[in-house]
Amino acid sequence: MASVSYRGAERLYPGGDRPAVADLNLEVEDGEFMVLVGPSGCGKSTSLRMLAGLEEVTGGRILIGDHDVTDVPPKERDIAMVFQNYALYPHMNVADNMAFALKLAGVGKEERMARVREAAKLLDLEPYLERKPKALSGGQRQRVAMGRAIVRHPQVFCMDEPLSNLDAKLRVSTRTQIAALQQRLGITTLYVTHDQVEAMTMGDRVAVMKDGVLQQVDSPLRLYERPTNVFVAGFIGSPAMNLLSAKPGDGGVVIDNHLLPVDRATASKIDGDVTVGIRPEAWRMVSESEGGLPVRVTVVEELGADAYVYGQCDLDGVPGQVVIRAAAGRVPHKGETVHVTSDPDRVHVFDGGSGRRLST
Amino acid sequence: MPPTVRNADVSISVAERLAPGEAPDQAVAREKRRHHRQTALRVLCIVPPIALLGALVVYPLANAVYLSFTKSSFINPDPDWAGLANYQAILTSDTFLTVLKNSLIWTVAVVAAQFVLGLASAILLSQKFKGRLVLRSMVILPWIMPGVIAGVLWKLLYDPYLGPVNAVAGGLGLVDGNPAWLGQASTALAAVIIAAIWKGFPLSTIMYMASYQGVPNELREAARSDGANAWQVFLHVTLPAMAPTIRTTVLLTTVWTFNYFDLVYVMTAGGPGTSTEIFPTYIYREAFQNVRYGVAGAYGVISVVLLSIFTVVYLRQLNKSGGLD
Ligand SMILES: Nc1ncnc2c1ncn2[C@@H]1O[C@H](COP(=O)(O)OP(=O)(O)OP(=O)(O)O)[C@@H](O)[C@H]1O
Ligand SMILES: [Mg+2]
Repeated sequence: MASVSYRGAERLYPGGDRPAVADLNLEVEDGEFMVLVGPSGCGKSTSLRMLAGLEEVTGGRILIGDHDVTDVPPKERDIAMVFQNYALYPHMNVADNMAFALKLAGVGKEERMARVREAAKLLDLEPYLERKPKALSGGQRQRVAMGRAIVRHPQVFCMDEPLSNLDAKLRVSTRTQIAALQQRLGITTLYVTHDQVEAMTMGDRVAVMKDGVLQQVDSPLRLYERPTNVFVAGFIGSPAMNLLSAKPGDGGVVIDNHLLPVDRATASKIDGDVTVGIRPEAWRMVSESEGGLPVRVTVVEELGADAYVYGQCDLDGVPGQVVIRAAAGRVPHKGETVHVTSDPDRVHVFDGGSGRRLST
Repeated sequence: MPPTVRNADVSISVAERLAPGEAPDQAVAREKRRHHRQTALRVLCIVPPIALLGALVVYPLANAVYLSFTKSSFINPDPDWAGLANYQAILTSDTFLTVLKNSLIWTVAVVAAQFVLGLASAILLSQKFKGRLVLRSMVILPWIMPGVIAGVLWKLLYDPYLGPVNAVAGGLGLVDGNPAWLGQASTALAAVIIAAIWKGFPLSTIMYMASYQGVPNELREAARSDGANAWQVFLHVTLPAMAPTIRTTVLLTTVWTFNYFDLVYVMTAGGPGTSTEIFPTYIYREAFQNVRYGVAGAYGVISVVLLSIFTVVYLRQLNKSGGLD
């Protein structure tokens, strides 16, 4: 049993005027892979370090299983941390790096070596056990950092952007490896990243943070399909969701004189200006006579199977950016003007002031 | 295969460097000429520094070695050749044993204490507390103070009747009467050692402070989440990360302490008797009071040899345990 609960956890740095992490309520289930994602400085690392005991908790509680660890020193929390820069002990070789925690825990030499070898085998590190960290490549160091965590068989893994020092290709392959490894070991994992693609591909569930405040916790698909507010809508997905300001209209919303129909339940909730969110793939190209929003194409990104079409539209005199995903064979040319609209079930409506989701 | 210039550092394929209308063998000759010119240039660049080194290092050293094979006295200050007589006399004398023993005790005690004190103060001054900056700039004072001044200061501190050392020790009931710490053979060496520790430890403090703060915090955090307590973090992470600085600093302080002259000279001039006589003070005494340049030179040579042996053994040992990095 090693679930993790943040109960109103807060971290206020001395001298700070507002908490770096405010009233965080988050439940990570036993064996779950939870990803914390958000823009730089939103408090992801701080949240993680609070769990690991490396950061003081200034309010609320943190539980591991049924055990309140808020005031427990890190060494008694049974958490293995993987750091962004790996933090390998430079004077120890790979085997000693991995065995260090076991040695401190008083595990016998035989058992220690057995576990190190097992982890090394799992991570393809067997040829490097005698090497010092500085004689390893970035990817190998990353694996040693992982190995150091897994030999411990801890209650919880904490990983703070463990892939950000790898090149793009290695990052993608390591991403899959880590996710597979976690699934196999079944150890509760809290994983921090600022990369929403990483979050979406790795997490069982994803927690999105902004300015120290948790915005939404959901499965990747739910986050994509039902973002709870404008921030999450814009943060999750690549290219980002089109977010256009609109006014209430008859049975829908009006973007620059073009009526976009929304379903009745949503329409009834609209009072005042709204922000409309439409994913690039949710646009439908129509003929001019059907009354779509005119978009002048400025850039076309061909991806083979489809293309991303970037264009400009006019929002009551203010130029707006629009991204459209177009299927191959129907890709407009640069300079052309296309007309686009969408369907009620694919339109996200957010309150213009608070940014909260209005669509059902 | 294209013709290549068979020369260690110019094995460039000549075929690629043919000038227009040039035959390969002409090109080879051209490359050779270029190579000779380069060698001449290199030699020309190396000569001045070597000459300078020779004038600054080799000449005085050679002169001292020469002196050590000569004899001179107050009456007859011109050196006469004496062969190995000086060395023979020194190596069989009791004074030499005393000087050697004093030098060893002095160096080991001062270096060890400066290491411990330097490390402890460095860690203390790296913590966050009020007045840390003031304390940091104060701790360096002994180091920037001239050795002569420090000697005079400590002489005053140890003064049997007026000095605060006896005032405090007497007040605490630790001593009877007014012991002359520098005036009796049994305590003089310890007394100058304490002064030397005080004089020199700030250098270790500063070196260790820089090194301590250079240890990435992430490493300590990693160790903490690996289950280490504060002491284990220090022992297994901080200290090994500081090892290169510690090795260098210990080597430097050893050499400096072994050769340290002014403090001892001002405080005791090697006395009482020979109880605080170390190599530098004794060399001074032989050369400028006894005017026995030959003996002084021989002592000098011996002290350089001892220090060289130490340095070589130390660096060897270092290389075995990972070198200076
Ligand atoms: N030691 C500190 N003292 C004061 N403020 C801090 C400290 N560490 C972090 N902060 C502040 O807390 C906020 C959250 O920092 P945190 O490191 O958790 O961000 P993050 O989400 O991990 O960002 P990134 O993706 O850039 O790593 C930031 O605004 C940062 O300036
Ligand atoms: Mg961070």
